[in-house]
Amino acid sequence: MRQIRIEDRGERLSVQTGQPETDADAAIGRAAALLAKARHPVIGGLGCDVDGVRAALRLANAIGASVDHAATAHERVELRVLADSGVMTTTVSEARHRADLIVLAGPGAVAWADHARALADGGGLYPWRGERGVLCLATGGARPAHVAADGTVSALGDDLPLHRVLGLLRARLGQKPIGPLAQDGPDRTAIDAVALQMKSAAFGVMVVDANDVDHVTLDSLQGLVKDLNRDTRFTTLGVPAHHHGRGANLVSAWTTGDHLPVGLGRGYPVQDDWLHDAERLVTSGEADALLWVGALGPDVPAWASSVPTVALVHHGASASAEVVIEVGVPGVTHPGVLTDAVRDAFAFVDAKAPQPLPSVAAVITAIEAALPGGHP
Amino acid sequence: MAALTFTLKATPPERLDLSALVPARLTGLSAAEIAALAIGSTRSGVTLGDMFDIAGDDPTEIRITGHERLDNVGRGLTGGTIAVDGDVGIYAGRAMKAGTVTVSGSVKGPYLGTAMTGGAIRVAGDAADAVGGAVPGAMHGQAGGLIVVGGSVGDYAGDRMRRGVLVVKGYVGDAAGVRMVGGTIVARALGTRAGLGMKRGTLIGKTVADLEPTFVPTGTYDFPFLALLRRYLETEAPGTGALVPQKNPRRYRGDMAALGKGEIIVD
Repeated sequence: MRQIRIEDRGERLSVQTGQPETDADAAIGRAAALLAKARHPVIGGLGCDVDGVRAALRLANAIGASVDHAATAHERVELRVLADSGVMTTTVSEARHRADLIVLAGPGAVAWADHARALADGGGLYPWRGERGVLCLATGGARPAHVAADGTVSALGDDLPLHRVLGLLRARLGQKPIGPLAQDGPDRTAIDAVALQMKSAAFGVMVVDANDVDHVTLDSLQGLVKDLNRDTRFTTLGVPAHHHGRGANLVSAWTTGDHLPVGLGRGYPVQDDWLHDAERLVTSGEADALLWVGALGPDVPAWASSVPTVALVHHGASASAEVVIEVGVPGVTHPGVLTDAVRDAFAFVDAKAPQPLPSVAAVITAIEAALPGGHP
Repeated sequence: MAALTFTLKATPPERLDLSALVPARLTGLSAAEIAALAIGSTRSGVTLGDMFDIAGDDPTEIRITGHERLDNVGRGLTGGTIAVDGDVGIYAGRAMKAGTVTVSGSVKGPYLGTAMTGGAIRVAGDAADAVGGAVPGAMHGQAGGLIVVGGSVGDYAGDRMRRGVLVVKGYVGDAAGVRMVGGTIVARALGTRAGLGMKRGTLIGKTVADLEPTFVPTGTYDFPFLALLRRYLETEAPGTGALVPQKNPRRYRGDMAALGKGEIIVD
């Protein structure tokens, strides 16, 4: 017997499923009614497993919703540069074993390296690999504490914006002239030394967090890596998107033909970063209902308060919405399929601490079945 | 024949796709067929007749009541004129080849004139981000023609611009002319990160904010190009010729991080 908890306008109820579940049915029914009557509903957050995203896209098709994920930097920056110019990228696993130079570009790269500790040891699969250097570019003074390095961590442009450091390195790598430099920044000798250090690596990996950059700066970073590949091997490693953003976008790609955000209001998928941006739709008043999926986070954002909201949240999350339904967390309370950031592949993850909570997919499927004309 | 006029009945309850309102799509359609064109963006199935009062019969001269939720105004235009009384949304003048689009209000959505190859767009008010800029995944933004904005524009103006002229009487935001491969942008003042990653093309402004060090000073500039550009602008957009520096402006070559054959010219 499963138990789901439903918070309804601040009042938490505990109800049984698998039995005549009046309150759960009522919550599902009200969620369905709220979404069905909307002219332009939006499904946002989308922090859930593969089954949850698939269910959300099916529901969006039924109600004509726009679908977006909370990891907007992954969609608007990383996937844009992939489409604009192409990218060179590798997996955490390859970077760990193969890289003899780890370049941390921007403060987010340092924070991730320390938090995830994915590069905390030097690997060891390839005994021929040389000593590993670590280089920080425009990290604002941040240095990693948990990245394996042979020797000292070098740095360039602590006080400069990342786009400028990348531009200067690209120019000097191409042996081009550069204009006057600020007195308090690195001089030409320092820039040339770092360019030589990067060029001298046998296999360099540049780590960057899409939240630190826009598409222009990331395009420049990819351009630098492509330039370096004339002389050596160099690639990049993107900090994994939050809340299963990469997996959700891959599901969208194989389901709708394109990444998120995508709109299904016209009966066919329309991908548009601006038109179907969940926050823009809600704050502009174009959307009149929101389904927020936060099983893997994030919490319902403040901007959601301006529109009737159904929130699917994990245990302990705070949510203020018209209908709040507590759901399980894939990989924790129930099994699910998620992207494995280390191998960059989908993987089945078993429940660590099973609890009788419904999955996102189960709740969304129930909402779809409860739509007027739905098939329970 | 009288201009084909579309008068908005009320505030649009959803975004409207007006890409059908170009002469090539409207010629030969009866009034009833025009009114039945689907323009909605949701399941509601909104038609042109639901949202607009329609009058006139000359599809080469189109007048529209503006609103920020009107998208794709003049998209793919191949001739004739479209005059908007008010604001417009995203993708105005996208991929237009010829003709004229005028907007008396402001452009409230991004990508004005993206991929246009000819014709002219004139905006009296301000414009949002990526004016003449490339949409995600596209090789080029503006690729010909003329865009004139009376007010100021947002960020990423002329991102991946290829050809044509973009004139902004006010200010441009961050990252104008980034990744540009050709064309000319003229503005009163250029913002930060101007020309980042540009390969070729010309940026002209009275001032530039925090010029990137990958632009190299090459002295003053006294070629006849500026006089020709000034005369062209005065002809096409009276009052904008004064934006072009008069005497010995400074010239910077860049972006040296990319090909380095572009230029920024400032007073």
